[in-house]
Amino acid sequence: MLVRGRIAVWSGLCAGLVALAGSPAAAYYHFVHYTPNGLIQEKFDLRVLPGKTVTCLVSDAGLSNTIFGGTDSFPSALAQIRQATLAWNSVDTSDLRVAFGGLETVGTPQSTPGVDIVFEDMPPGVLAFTGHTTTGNIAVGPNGPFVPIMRSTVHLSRDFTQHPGPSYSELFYTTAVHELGHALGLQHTFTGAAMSTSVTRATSRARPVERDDIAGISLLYPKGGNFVSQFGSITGHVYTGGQGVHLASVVALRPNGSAVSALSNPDGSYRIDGLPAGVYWIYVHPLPPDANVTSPVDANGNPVPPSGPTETLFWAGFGNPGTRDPSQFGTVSIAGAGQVVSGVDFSVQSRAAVSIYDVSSYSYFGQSAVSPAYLNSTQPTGMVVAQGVGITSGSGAAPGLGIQLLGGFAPPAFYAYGSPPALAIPLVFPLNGGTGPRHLYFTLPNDAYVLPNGVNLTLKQPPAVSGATPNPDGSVTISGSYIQPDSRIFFDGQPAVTSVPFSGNDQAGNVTVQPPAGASGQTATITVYNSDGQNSMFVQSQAPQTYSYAVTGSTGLVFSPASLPAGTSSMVDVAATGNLRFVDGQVTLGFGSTDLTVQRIWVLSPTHLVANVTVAQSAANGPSEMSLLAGFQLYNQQSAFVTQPFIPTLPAVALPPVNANPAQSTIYPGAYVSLYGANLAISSGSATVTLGGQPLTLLYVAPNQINFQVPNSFSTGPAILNVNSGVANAFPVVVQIDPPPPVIVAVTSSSNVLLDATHAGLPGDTLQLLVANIDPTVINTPSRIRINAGGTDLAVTAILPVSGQSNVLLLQFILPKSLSGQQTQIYVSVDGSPSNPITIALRSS
Amino acid sequence: MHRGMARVPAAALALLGCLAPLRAATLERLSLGDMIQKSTAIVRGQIGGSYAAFRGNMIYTHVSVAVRETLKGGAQASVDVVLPGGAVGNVRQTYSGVPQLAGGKEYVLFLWTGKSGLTQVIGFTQGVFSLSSGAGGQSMAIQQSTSDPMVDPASGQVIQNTSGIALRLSDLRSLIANASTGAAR
Repeated sequence: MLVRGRIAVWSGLCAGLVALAGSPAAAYYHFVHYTPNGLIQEKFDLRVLPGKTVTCLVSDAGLSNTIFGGTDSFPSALAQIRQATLAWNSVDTSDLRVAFGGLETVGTPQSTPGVDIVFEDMPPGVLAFTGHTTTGNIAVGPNGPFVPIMRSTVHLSRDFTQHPGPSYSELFYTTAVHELGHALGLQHTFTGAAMSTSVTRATSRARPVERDDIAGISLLYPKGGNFVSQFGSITGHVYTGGQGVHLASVVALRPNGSAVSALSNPDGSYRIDGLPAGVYWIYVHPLPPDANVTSPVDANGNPVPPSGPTETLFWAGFGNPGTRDPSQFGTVSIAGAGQVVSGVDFSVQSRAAVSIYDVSSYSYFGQSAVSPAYLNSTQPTGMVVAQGVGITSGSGAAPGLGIQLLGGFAPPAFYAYGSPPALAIPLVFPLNGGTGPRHLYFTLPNDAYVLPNGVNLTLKQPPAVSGATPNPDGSVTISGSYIQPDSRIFFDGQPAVTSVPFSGNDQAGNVTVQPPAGASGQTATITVYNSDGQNSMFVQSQAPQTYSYAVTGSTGLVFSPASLPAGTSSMVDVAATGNLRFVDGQVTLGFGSTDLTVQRIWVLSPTHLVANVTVAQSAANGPSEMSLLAGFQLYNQQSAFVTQPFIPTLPAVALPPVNANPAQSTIYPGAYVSLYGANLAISSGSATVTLGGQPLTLLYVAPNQINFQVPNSFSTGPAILNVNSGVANAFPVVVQIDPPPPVIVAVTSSSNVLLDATHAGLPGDTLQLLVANIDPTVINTPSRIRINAGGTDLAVTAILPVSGQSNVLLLQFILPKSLSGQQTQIYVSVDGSPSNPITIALRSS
Repeated sequence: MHRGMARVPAAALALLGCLAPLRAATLERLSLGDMIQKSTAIVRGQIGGSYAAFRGNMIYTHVSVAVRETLKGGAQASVDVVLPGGAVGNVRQTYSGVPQLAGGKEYVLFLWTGKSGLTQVIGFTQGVFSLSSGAGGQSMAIQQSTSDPMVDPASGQVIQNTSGIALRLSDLRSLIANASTGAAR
């Protein structure tokens, strides 16, 4: 009765909020404010972030206050945090870029929003937590009003001998990804995604963020403002007793794939966006009591809590009551971008308490327990162990409990064991049981619970490392079992670069890699990660293979300039001293403040690099810390860099210069380039510009813009750009000159018929693109190539060299059957550099 | 109970008891024994006034707790408990999962004072027990993360098998006293 009373009170209040809010947007799992003008979220203001990039800085107190066991080290922890920033940075439907910015000195004044990461003592039971700072102000951006996040802080335990340590573990990495998600504006979800609490999280090094995370971050920071229109959506209401349910979690679940979810609004309405084409089950479940979700706040800043607990129920089709019988589950088909399926409503019963929650699944590899469970479906049987609230009672299973693995598996038998009790669930695999995630489904006589991705099916055993043999050239040959051609080899928290591809078989094989640059005398733990989500720690966590770096002498560096005025950009030159060595792709340079952004680094030699640095115009003046992480070699110096006051009259280049052709994102010989900035010229004839020491002919000159053409014969690679306004020099910057973009020469059908706007291709047919100006080494890294037809990215089915033409390749792909209309446009891009589009006609048969 | 064709390995059975830390990367689930052992003080107290203040870049909400009973640690009339987050002027810091302590309400708090000198609740909501009247008027201590709906208000009995903890206050006193005696030995 008490619970129902609360629901009634909140339902009434929430109805009032909806009336105030008008038509609220999707709540998803963000930090939400209900205002008289609608629902708004807390997020970073991209307009004040340089390059729309939020920089994550780690407190240098971690150098002295962290505790490590064995061979673990602070640089390894930094490397993992860097990897975690890359996971969020890789979400290309999000406009927010995420960068690791090295170390900072606590207390350094900074005006640009950012993320601070601190290592500190935690109360027992707390391993990590994250919060963010707002001022209550509401800003209005291109996608509507929002509450700007001024600063986020991630608090991690300084004791790496305790969970989620050690730093090189996958658990520390997925925890860092999770906490950074909070820092960016995401709350907990319950779909097995990165933002799920660790009890149910099912992400891995191979899949650090799931569709749910991608939807969450992309809805907050939509690239081009049109994330919603690129995918499908499902909308509906959740009611109990005719009243809307507030903060019910509604989940769209692919039978053999990931889930995307949303929370309901005060009136019970919900909207799930970001759904790729496919078939979905839809279910609603209550937030668990330990959800740790911060409730939305009303216009006065008071929290609007969730409605009381309800049952969990699947949608059973339009007009049908909900169900918990898998044979009655309704499905929603999303055919493509922009499709909205509406009216997927639920009527649920309230409950005195949430019946089942916090269920974890495990599988066992010898002495090691792995969560979520990984099972080899080529074996006849496998064993899953489940533990959680509500699935056991006393020492046995909860009365009336049923368990299923959704997606074509027979309901398994199960039994309870141990104390506290767990459930052992032996599974019999059907022939061709498949691979990928499967969902565990628990039912009680009057309720249910879904554990998305509770079981991951694989076709092989986890990899194991049996040897790490150093070679004279500095590479290391890793040998072992179940290493795959696409395995990634990590030394502590950093990936190694493959130098000799895998050879061998499942039982014995080897791959040769170039280890990340190590610190003197460092011992790194080697982990092999396979694309199926398994890694060698499944079977070797007690005695992992290690690699010891040579003991070398002291390291150091010199850099210049050591000071810059606010509002400028400049090249910074860094030279290594002693035994410090740089490797391209493994260097992070930072200046200890989110006001200073390192735009790009060029490693010119093992002892020399240059970087473009931008100082925000509003930057706090004064000293800050310079740090450099090269592999595991860490160098830092407090107060080494000084931000000087803004000089209004100084010529200042804005980075990066851009190709005048908006379809092109790179600059190459022959390209027309626009260089923006301030005070670039005092008159139209006053400015001079040199590129690589070569004077340029200027096509347009204004104080805030200069246009020029890169000479056709200009060499590719980094080149220094100097601007003189007529009275003063801007600080020099580096411009990357890339090879020209690929050019589609011809499109042919599988029968070698030339296709164009009048000669039609057949959807479903295999087509060939003859592409010139293409780097021939892409044959070894097909992921660098993207073929797009009619707005859809397509897989490249084959890459073939063309005899006698080194920069020409033949790319094969299948024209999708889903294409319709009279014509379609095709283009290919390499490393993000797009070709000319080419149009072909379409025929239906 | 059904018995499958494959048995859980004995080693796995032994391991399961060690799994609790693996289940939580952000919050580690603590048993009552863990909380008794790892807390530096356990008090029953009434929540008084609160204020928020910066400590470095971080805002903590300081909550004054009038101590009614000390169950572990040195006797003190009141204790200043800090919770991450709060509002100072127009600056607000938000941390998910931080317990809410209602002014005027009585709780049993499992506290931990670290090197920083700040006294915090252990395990966020895990270290906060609300007090309510159970059957026969006996005081029940109910872990905050399980919340009120876990208890039948009529009988005062726990109505759901939960991972949270609910027990008589008198039993909690005994457990803490016994643990302290054991530790003293």
